[in-house]
Amino acid sequence: MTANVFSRRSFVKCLAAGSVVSASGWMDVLAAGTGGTQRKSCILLYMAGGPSHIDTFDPKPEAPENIRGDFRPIQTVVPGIQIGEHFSHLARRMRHVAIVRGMSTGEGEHGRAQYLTHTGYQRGSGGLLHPSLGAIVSAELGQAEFPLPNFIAIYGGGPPNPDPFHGPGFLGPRHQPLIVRDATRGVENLSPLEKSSIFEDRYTLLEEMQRSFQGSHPARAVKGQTTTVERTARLMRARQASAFDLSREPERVRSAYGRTQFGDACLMARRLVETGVPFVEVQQGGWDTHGFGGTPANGGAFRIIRNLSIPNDIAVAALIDDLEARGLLDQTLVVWMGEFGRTPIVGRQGLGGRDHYPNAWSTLLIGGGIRGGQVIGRTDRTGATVEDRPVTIFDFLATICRIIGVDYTKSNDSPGGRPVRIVDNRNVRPIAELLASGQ
Amino acid sequence: MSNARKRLNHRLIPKPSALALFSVVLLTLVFLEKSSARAEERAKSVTPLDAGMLARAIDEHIDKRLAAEKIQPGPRSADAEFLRRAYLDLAGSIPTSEKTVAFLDSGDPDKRARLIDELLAGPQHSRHMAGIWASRLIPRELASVGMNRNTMVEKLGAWFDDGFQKNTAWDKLVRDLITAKGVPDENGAAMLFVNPDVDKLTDAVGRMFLGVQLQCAQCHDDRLGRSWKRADYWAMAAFFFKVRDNRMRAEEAAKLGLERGITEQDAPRSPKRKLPATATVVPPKFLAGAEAKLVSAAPYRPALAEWMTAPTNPYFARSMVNRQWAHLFGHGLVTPVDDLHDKNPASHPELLQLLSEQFIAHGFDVKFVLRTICLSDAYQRTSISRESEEYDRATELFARMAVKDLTLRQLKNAREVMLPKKQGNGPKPLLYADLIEDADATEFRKGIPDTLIQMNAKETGAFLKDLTARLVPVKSAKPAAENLETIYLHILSRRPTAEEIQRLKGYVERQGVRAYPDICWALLNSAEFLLNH
Repeated sequence: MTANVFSRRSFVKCLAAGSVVSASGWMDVLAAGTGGTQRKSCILLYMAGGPSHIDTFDPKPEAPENIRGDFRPIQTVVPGIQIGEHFSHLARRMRHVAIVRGMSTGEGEHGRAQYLTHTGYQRGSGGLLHPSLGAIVSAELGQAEFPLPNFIAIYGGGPPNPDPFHGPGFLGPRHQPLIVRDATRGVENLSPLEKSSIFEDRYTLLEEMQRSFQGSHPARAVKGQTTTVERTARLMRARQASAFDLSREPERVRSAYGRTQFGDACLMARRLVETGVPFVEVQQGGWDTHGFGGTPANGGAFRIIRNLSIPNDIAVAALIDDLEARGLLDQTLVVWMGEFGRTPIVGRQGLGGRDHYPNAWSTLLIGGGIRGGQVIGRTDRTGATVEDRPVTIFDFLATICRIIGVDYTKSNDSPGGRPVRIVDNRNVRPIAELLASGQ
Repeated sequence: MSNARKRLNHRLIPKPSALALFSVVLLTLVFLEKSSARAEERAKSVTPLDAGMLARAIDEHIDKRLAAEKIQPGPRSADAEFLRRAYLDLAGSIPTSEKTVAFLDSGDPDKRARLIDELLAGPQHSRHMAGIWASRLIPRELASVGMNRNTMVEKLGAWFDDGFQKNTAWDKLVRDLITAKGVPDENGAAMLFVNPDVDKLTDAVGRMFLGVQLQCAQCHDDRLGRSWKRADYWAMAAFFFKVRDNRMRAEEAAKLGLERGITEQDAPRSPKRKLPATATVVPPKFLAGAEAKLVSAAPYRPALAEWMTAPTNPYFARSMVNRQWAHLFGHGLVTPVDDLHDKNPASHPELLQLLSEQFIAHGFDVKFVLRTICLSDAYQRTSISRESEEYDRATELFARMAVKDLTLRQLKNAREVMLPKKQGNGPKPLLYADLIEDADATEFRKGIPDTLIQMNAKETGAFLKDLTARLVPVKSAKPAAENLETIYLHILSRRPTAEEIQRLKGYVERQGVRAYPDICWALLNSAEFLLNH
């Protein structure tokens, strides 16, 4: 396993070295990505509810008090880049991190914005259910022979969300996420009902029945059902399934991630990526910080943001260190995002927090061979509008696709036979500044 | 909270501009090649055939095509195969073991026809069909309407159930639905309009009742050979622009003299929700031609309903007949079922024409169509084949019965038949349940997570324990062969073959009582149980 990762990594390095010669190193490395020689993974850290950009990665210390909020900015290890005070661990790892400060997406309702940011489509458009990014990656980069599902989604704490990860849409159940509700408990229903010798007896009986029925019914549905049963049994027996077992991690590692629900989920994501899963989504809820239940006395919305930020910061920093130590950081793109930002002005609804704001907000891209330690785009003094390098959701998703080697211009057929592009926008501009040139 | 509640009151289906409200709209539109007068003439001149005669006509069309393609039609299904299929298709469930034994042992030559009639008359049938229609009509993404989707499906389903039970003529049922008024809790049909997005409503009505996909034209003129333009889409949508959902409390509404629930308002209100960016505002008009006479003070929906359900409508009858066909065969004469247009012809155009005409001639009798198709040789053919090369082609042309995936309701109902006293027992609902209802039934639509539930969930364990206890009580000292027959009759609705008994008897001898839950587990996870064949 390790040897494998290593050779792949050296290969990437050779490629990158070669690319210095060309005028556009971006294209060369990308060509390698889409050529299938270089497989990357993606960990999507999704902050459901919509984190405030001003309170996290786009602080506005110069703005009036009712905009800058309670938090001070801190200096990161990269000169000139400041972030919110509760991300001190990330600040020390900023050379791996690119902050995209010019997100501008236009959809301010949670459900629709989460759909849009996961799928790149407006909910309901074309009468279709669109595949989530994880399902797209599963379809494009997933290996059919791999015993684990290629899209795994983990709850990282916070209030429940009705359809948090969005499904495979028209790509079909083969690409549905395997959902882990509690990282400390692993995959639900992975162990057989009885001890494994009984399972094997039962499975042998089932196999005989399947063989006989399949022999007399060469139908698609039968093939589909028997294959799914085989893949399920393979997952149950797979040694890679131990990636779901956090108890195999040394105490030191578990503590580094903070031993929080979010931290545990991030650790599982690292284990899964290490074992070969191309897409893992970790979702942390609770970022919808209007200030409900908050009072000035208990710190209101800002206390909630602080309590979310601190364990988040610890876990993401640990994830970066861990991936780096294992030589996986260059092959693993970590994305940190919510569905939108929050209003610059605090307390508009009289609740002491900030409201939904899709007009200008921030995301992070980490690892994956990108050029870290930079800020892409700029908002104005109050964090209200994007002044430089606006990034649409199409630009953003296309950027992710290019980094991990998915051809976002490709079309998949919807059930009605209509081709549907992975990222549907003619004017899409992936963020070229992120490419590591000559690295 | 109460603020949010208030905002939900009087939610509007958007009415974007006064442009759509003409004092009188009189439009002359694109005409179909056939004038509507001629189509009407033709509809009147069709003589209704009885179900038996029409079933023979179906087979003539099917067999003629098979002969031309040099495909040998498959043999008639065995009784057990037919019984389980008819139950799943018509009643959405499997037969009880008593019913299975009675049917298999009956020497009545007409037993299949009798079974079809019995199933169509039963309450399970109307409930099954109602569930399908209701869940397809209520869009999935309803986070913002302030109502639980399951409740909506249930209420609309209850309304359909009533209609199907009475076998209300399809044109009347659809007219009542399209023009539904009142509080959705009291009139389930009104649930259709508790939907803030007029575009989704337009899509649903187009796909479900006319068999046309308008959704592409929502954003651009259709590029797939369908003739409709973006303006056609929004002209259809415009029929719904005056619909309102008034959620005031009864006293409040009485005080203001307003009707509660779904109404059509004379005057537009300012839209609370924006239409999608692709919306254009055009006056209401019927799809693909006809004249629309509308008075702005009168409701628009009755005009739409009249046009939709008229015998001369080029889509309405064909769409329903094709959907019924697809329900039974896994795929329609036109496929996909919601894509009727010139460039997507039927596999058997004359047959589709014949069935539509007969559907109309029989006064839009829904059960008549189902009964007729079930009586045909085509429906009663086996799904068994040893020729994997030709299998897909053979099922496409109805030389073999297709194998269909079970819906979640069928699966749940089947569990309740096997273990009637334990309501709600068995594994939890599968993931992405809703997706399964819509996707192609001839594909297996469940994934690994679903299969893990099916194999290993705690609820599966409890179900297995109770089922085994019921089928093979510990105290019974029956011979293995007898126990195996009981198990097969309950789970697979057939008797085991001699070879199966032989093999499994060996297993029982080796493993003792432990063998029975093992065998039940294997059967419950088998393709034979989880598919309709």
